Amino acid sequence: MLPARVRRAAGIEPGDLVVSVPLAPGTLLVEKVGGPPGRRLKELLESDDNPLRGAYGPDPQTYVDELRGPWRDDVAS
Amino acid sequence: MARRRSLVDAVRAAGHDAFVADTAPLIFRLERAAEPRFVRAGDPLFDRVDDGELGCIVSTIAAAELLVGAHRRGGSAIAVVDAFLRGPSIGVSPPDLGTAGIAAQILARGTLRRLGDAFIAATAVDLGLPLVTADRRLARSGAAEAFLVADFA
Repeated sequence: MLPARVRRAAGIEPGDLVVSVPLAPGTLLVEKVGGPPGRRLKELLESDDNPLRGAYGPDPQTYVDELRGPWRDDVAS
Repeated sequence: MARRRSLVDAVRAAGHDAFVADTAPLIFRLERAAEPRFVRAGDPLFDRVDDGELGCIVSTIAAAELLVGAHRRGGSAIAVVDAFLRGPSIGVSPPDLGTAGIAAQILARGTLRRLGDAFIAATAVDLGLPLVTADRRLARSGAAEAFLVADFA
């Protein structure tokens, strides 16, 4: 097992999914193949880097209504 | 002062450990730019989904609606929606003939008038799960057991 400080230095955090491959005596390749999706995704969503920010307009329900079409009650027959 | 009932309480009190999410509540969670009280109302529910305590079912109708906004943005926005929909506690439910039949009954009765709404409600009815929606008309239609986000905001 890698010491905690080594894991942190390599950018590996608790809950991350990693694979390790011994390449040679004293050399271990550790690759992070996944993290805890919920926590990581929520962090991204809350950050200024969220690429979806503003993608649905000021009112999401209005966005949905535009896609689903007007309620027939609203349409003059 | 009594704690306000949350969407998590409502889903659990109805005897369920999963729910069907309409599109707007998903946008509240993903975009995080809507009216803050709606984002806050939905967050505990989706936090439980992230933690694996609750399951969230997304109709392919809602998935497509989510992806329209993402495609208008391109690359990374599509990747974020895709990652969300592939989450371990998210199930994407395609409409089958059974769902189509339920949606048809909802429309034929005039309970709902839009095909998309009917398929979303039919997904909830078919799975026996409550629907979480931001659409007051859909929530009050009686087409499915539904919780309106605004009632918990």
